[in-house]
Amino acid sequence: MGAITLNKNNRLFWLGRYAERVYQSVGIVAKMQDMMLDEEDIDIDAFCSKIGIAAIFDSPEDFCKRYPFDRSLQGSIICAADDMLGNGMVLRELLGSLTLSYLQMTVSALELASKSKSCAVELQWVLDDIMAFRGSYAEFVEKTSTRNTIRCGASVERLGTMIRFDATELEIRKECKKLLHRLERSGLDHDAEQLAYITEFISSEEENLNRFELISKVESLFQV
Amino acid sequence: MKGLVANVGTINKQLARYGVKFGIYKNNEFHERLFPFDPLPRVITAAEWSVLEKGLIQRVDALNAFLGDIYGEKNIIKDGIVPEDFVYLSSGYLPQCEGIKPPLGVFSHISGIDLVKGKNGTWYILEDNLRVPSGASYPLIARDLCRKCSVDTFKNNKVKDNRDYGDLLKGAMDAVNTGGINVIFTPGRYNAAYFEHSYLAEKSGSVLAESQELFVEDNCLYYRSLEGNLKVGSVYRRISDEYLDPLCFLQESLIGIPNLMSAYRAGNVAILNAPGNGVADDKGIYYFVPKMIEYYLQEKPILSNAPTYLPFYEADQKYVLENMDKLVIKDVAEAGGYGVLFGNELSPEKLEELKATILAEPRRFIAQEVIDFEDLPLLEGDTTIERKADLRAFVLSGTETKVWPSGLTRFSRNPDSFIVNSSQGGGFKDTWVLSR
Repeated sequence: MGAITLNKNNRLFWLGRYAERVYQSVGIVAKMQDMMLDEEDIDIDAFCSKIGIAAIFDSPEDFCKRYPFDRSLQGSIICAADDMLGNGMVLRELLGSLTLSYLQMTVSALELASKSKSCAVELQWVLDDIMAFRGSYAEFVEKTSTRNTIRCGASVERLGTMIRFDATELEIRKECKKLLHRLERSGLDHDAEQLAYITEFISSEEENLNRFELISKVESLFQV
Repeated sequence: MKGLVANVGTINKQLARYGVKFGIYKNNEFHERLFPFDPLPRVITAAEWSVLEKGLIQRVDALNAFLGDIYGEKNIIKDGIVPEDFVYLSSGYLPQCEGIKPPLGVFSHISGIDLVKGKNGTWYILEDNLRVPSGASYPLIARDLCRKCSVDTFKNNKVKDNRDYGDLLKGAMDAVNTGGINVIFTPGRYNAAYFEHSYLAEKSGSVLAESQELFVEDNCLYYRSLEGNLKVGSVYRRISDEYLDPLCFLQESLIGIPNLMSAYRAGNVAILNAPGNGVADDKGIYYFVPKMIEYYLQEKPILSNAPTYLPFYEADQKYVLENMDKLVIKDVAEAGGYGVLFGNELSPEKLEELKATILAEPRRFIAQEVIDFEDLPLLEGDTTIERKADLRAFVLSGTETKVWPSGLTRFSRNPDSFIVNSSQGGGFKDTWVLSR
């Protein structure tokens, strides 16, 4: 049975966003650890502002310790994972228990990593589980529009990270194209004005992207 | 069984992976817990099951006949078999359901019948649950996972397959469907049995819906699909009667569907289980079920009730008041293991207090002999311990009545405790029915 309501469609979109947020955020922690190893001069507050969380960390080490695992910290990876699972749980009959189990495993992997001394290695399991989730829903969710609604959420989230973290304009254009391709197949309600802006950005060849404006357009593209 | 014991860690990891949880509210906060699973199954022989199966079908058929009668002709009251007090004063009796004839005349489509096996080998019915009995999903998924974790165990033991519960449920829903999709109606994510709601929706191919996703128009129930509204032909509601329809029952219900009862009354949607079934699973009515079997089916009951006394009757009241220390007293208005008092555990003051309440409100209580029901082995670390356990058998009624060859075996965590409810810390086991 594939019939879904607007409420479930919104949850599919947010499931995609949160799953991608977890995936991207693990990458951010890895990036921070790299910077620490390379002894770069890290402005932790500026870094937090870039990823959109409160600048409350004492040091890069404190960031790596708390940002992935602290449930009391709004915007932490584990909070995003809980939200991902929460959205998934109400979609069991659409996703299937097998696909849903990868979301549960992601949360469990994060909890296990928090107890490990080599959490960077353990966080790899989180990425593996998210990848397994992607593969599972691609394989087992029957309806094209359902799959693409999840993917639209993922694209919006990924674009947010790419734009904030200095991806090249070429890379951003490619991801925007992917987003529009998914939008077409999702049946999600969208804002025509934002769509026109993104479409124009894709076709323009100018190299003077207003990153903040693009983020805002992408974020408000979908009416969910 | 050695394979299951050796793989208990793996089985529990799998249960966690699949989110086999139940919710509980403590201090007004919602907590989700993994449902503790013991890998040693309850084993029921084929011969034993054959009797249980016949007895359960008989009992549920009689209960369905009773419900049809109570909301129809009321012959059982007219003929003096059941006193009207026990019907009309029951909180489960809903006058709003008077005269409604559900599709196929089935009121209880999914019945959860709680039994215990006495140490003398006799099975006793403890309770009938005809409203929203939960628990089938747990042995259903546990069996699936146990089979994967210990292939040899299931190769060497001839156990009836229980993985068809979703099909049985779908069959029951399809049988009464008035035209349209099958829906499982859940109060939402923070319900104690949400895992079960979503899992059964998946397994039965039904749509899982909350109240805001359903509406009634022109006396028909619809699901608000993105691709257009879809008519609902049968709705398996996992929500209590009083919250079902704010225009018919509790006005303050925010989780119900306005006018659902009108659509049901018009015969445009089947509700599983039917509203008003509480009148038949009331603890007071339990006493009369063997009489119902004789009255409606002209058969002798195959399964026994636990010996029960009704303080409503003078002779029974005298016996109860004189033997309270040997009896378990149950408040008929309570459920979930609450309102159950063992006379031998009460202080003299509390005993006197209870006696006074029974005298003032005799209809409110039943008293039962304490059945010394069998202990089942549980795994604790490397050893086994014994605990009390009951069995909830699931009986599904559509075009015919069938018993699911499995069930939820719940056990008490505490030694000497007879309370097995999950809400009070109990766990569960798989229930094996041997095929020969």
